[in-house]
Amino acid sequence: MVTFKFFLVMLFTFQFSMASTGVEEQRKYLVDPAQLSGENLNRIQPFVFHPHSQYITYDIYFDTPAWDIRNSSHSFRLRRVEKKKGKWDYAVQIKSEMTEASQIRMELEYKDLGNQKVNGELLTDLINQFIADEPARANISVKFTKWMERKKESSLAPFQKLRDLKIDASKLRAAVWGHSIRQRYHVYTEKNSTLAKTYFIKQSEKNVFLVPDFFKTQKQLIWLMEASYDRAIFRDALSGKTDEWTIHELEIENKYRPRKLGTLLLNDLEEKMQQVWQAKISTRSKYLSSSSHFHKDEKE
Amino acid sequence: MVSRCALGLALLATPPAFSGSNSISEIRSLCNELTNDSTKEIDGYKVLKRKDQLLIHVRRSCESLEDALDSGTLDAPSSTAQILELKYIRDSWIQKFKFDEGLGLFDIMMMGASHQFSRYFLRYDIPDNKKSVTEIEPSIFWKAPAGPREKEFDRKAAELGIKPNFKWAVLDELEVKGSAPKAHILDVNSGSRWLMKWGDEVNTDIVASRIFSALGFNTDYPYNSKSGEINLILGKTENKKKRSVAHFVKFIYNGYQINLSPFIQSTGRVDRATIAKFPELTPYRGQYYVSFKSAAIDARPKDELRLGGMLSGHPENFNRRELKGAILALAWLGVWDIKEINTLLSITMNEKSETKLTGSFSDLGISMGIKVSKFPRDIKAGLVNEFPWDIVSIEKGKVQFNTHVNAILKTYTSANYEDLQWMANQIAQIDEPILRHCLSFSGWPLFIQELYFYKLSERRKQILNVFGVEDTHPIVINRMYSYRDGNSHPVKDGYLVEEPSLDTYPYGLLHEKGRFRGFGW
Repeated sequence: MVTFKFFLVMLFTFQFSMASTGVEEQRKYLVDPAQLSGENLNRIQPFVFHPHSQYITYDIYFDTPAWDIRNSSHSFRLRRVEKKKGKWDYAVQIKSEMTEASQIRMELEYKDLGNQKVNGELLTDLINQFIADEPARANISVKFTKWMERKKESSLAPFQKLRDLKIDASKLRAAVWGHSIRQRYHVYTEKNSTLAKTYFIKQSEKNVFLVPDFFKTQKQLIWLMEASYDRAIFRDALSGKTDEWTIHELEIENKYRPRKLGTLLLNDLEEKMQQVWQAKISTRSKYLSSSSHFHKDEKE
Repeated sequence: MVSRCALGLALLATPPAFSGSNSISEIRSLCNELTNDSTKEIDGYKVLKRKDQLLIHVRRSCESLEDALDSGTLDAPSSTAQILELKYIRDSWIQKFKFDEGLGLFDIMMMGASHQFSRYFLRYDIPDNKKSVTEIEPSIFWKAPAGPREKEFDRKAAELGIKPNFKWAVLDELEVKGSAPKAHILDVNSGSRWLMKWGDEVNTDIVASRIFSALGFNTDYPYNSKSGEINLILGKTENKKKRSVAHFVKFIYNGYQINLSPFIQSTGRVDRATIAKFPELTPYRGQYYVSFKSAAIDARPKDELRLGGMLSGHPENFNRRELKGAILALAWLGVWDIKEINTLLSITMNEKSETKLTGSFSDLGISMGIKVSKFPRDIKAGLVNEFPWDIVSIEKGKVQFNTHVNAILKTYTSANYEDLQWMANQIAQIDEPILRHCLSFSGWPLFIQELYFYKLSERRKQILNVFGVEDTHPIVINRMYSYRDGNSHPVKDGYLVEEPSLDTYPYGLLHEKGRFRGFGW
């Protein structure tokens, strides 16, 4: 069993660290933070939200002066994630926007940024400096653009996607940036719940080796979804303005297999969250939301 | 004559060596081809999905070349080597697509012709002035074992996290490629992936791979699975119905025209009592399982991406002594199926996401005594009586190999005396304990192991004699080895004369009926 646990940990580490491309069936909701705390979490029965991890992400979003990325329904960002205290992971990512609720989203990323340099300076150092040093931000933004220009013909997946979209990476500049505190939840129901009985839900057919440890040890629970609640604050990177844009967003991803039944369960949960938590369906990513907020007069 | 012309043409079809300055636009084009998922077709072959190992390894090289462009070192030897490696990866990858299309008539004819003319091609000039053989640098294909040679196979397997001792596996995917019946299975506890095989290669592949590993080469990781050692849960069919034993046997029969029934030791169903004993089987409640009298399992580590063959004739490999010399080791073990696609170029990745390119001698099972029949078309491996005592001699001033192979590769025909002598030096390191250790994993009865031991030792002795290598570990050989057990007298004067129990060895170790595989006639 120890071996098995070790394998699962390794598998998940591997999965999360190496995923370079993927599709996700996910939905977004705007939910008041109070709804996801204390007793309120239990008001959504027979769906159970089990909090299991929390981490902080910093995102710097890029776009061209003509907002080509936003207009093509994508977002393009440099990301720093702190999953363990003091240990940062970095990535450059491109993600498609959700043009309608529950649409499957595409994400491409490259995580091996440790050796990337701009005129001799490490890109990761520049990301850290951008986040920490307000006066230096404009200057670092110029350096980011130089890096984008240098990488525009490269084999890094996000730049390959930009080329497919016919977007000139050399014109990218930091548009908005911010941080999110992300609380993650397993969403499950019990085998004997009314939900399980109504839909004749059996144990998920998801690859047994991709199921989290939590469900391996508690067989009466059926893993349905993964949820993450973001409390995000964004700022404009194009001007000197210091006002902030706050986003509280709940993302829910279908993990149940067969996927079709998972989609039905998502519908059920959605209805329940709208009634109980007054959740509002959202299709806007944090980038679309914040860039539109700071630059609403510009072509969208 | 026609066959020889065809062989000549095939030998000439080696890509030209790289020359000239390196162009960044060509590099980027190559990188894009290898990594961009929107490129769905290469050289007419459909590319569905690129695996992470390929993407990560290639992108790192491409980024390193981008750095070289910045620092003005794109024409430096290290950059050229990286570009050649990318081309090498591409060519091997494309070769896999070609192989997946199956063998054409020409390929089949070439195998037959190669078998027929093996002796003509496997002879080598003895130079008047023999040079002293120099040591070679480690490469992606070969490295002198760091510790005891007999432990090299297990050491490398442990490095890859391979653990073959499992009791329960679940059928993941039925395979239809190749000529030997096989299926992809998963260890229920660890999730590790294996290829399960049945038939005449379940002993030979194990021994040949361990000896090749002891010689310093990379290999696959096959293990013999003895009677009832592994219970294979048959899972569900595409229609989500529990797969029955009959369905499984029928599928294998339809794919390979081989009846697996004689290989089955026992069958059962995962019931409450089984789950009480093995709680990890809970997800498989009600499903059928089967155990076998004899099988082999071949590791398929999850972090390994198998490209195509290792392309020994590729420009940067063409002069490698370890690859040219390998023909002597292949001949020693009587490996018949030496087609390029039976070698392997793979990219492995560890938990730190570090990637490594490795060239291996894969699928060494058609070896150690081959019987080829023209009518009806058939082949069988692992026939000890067909494994000659004599492998090499000097005839008319040339070293002559007494063996047959199914491919004439330029790498091997262009080997010179020094290349072979270097290999003979490696073979000299394989002493009695190492040979016995490797044979002990075969699954053969002890008297057959003993007979093979004497034959391998005799062949080794002849190789060392012909290449003038001092034998510092001489082995006492008994060419008239006999074995008696009560009324039974299975080995007499160096020949297997009685068939060991077909109940334990259902494919037979004496009778010559094989799998009726087409190979050129």
